[in-house]
Amino acid sequence: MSIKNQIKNLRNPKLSQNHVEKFINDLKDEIEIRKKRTTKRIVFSSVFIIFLLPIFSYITFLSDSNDIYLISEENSIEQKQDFNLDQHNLHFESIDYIIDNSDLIISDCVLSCDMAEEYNSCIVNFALGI
Amino acid sequence: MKSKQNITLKLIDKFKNGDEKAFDEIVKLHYESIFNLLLRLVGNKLDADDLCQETFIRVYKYIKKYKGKSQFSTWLYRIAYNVANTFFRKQKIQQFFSYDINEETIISNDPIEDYEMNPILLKSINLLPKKQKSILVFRIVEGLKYKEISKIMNISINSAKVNYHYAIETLKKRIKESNVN
Repeated sequence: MSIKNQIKNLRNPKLSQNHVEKFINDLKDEIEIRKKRTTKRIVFSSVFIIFLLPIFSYITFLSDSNDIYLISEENSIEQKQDFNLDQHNLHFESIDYIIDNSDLIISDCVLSCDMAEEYNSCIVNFALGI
Repeated sequence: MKSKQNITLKLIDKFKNGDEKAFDEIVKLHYESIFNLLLRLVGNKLDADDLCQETFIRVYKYIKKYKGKSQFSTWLYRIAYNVANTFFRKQKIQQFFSYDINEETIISNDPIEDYEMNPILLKSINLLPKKQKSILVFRIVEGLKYKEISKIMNISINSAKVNYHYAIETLKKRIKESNVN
C-alpha cells in the first residue's frame, strides 16, 4: 500500500455524542470565565485611567518646580540664576510670546538672548522637564 | 441537501442576531474535523482537546468579523493551524528550559491509537518538520487543495507543493531505511 493510502487510512478516533456535548459545555464555561476576566480587566483599566492616572500626573506636575527667571538688559539668565542655557537646552523664540504667556509652562521654545536684550526686564515663569 | 457552508452561514447569521445556541450548532458541525486535524498535528488527544477549545474560543470571539468571502472551513482551519503553531512555539520554549524532555517523549505521550497504521510511518510523520507535517495532514487526511492549504498556512501554492513533495520523499526514505535495518 502506498504511503498516501496508508495515511488516508488513518483511523480517526470515534467521538461519541456525549464527548461533543461535554466539549460544548466546557467550551461555554471557559468562554464565560474569559468574558468575566476581560470585564475585570476593562474595569481595572478604566479605574486606572480615570482615577489613578490624573493623580500620578498631578504628582508629577507638582514635583516639577516652577522657577522664576529674570531676563533684563543688565542681567543675563546665567548671571542671575546660575542657569546655563546650553546645558538645559532651553530657548525661546519670541520675547513677546514669553511676556504674553508668562504663566504658561514652556518646554520647547527658542530663546534668543539678543532679543531679550532689546526689551527691558521681564519675568518669565516656566517649568523644567515637562 | 444543503452544503455545510450554507448551513454554517445561516447559523452565523443567527448567532450575529443574538442566538447563542446557533454557536453550539456551529461547534457540533465542525468539531470533529478540527479535533482530528489538531490530533494529527500535535499527536495526542489531551493537547488536541485543549487546542480545539482554544480554536473555538477564538471562533466565538472573531466570528462576527467573518464576512463569508472564503469557505468557513478554510477560515476555521486557519485559526486551528495558528493555535497549533502557538502551541508548538510554547512547547519549544518549554523544551529549551527542561533538558530532560526531548521531542520523542512529547510525541509518545498519549499517542493516537492507530493500530491499522505502520508504526514506523506514524513515527516518521511525527518527526517531519512542522510545516511539512501540516501540509501532509491538510492534503492527505483532510483532502484539501493546494490553493486552500496555501491560504490556511499563508504560504504560496508552490511552497505547499514543494513541501508536500519533500514530506512524501522523506517518509519514503525513512521507511526504506527502517526496512533495510
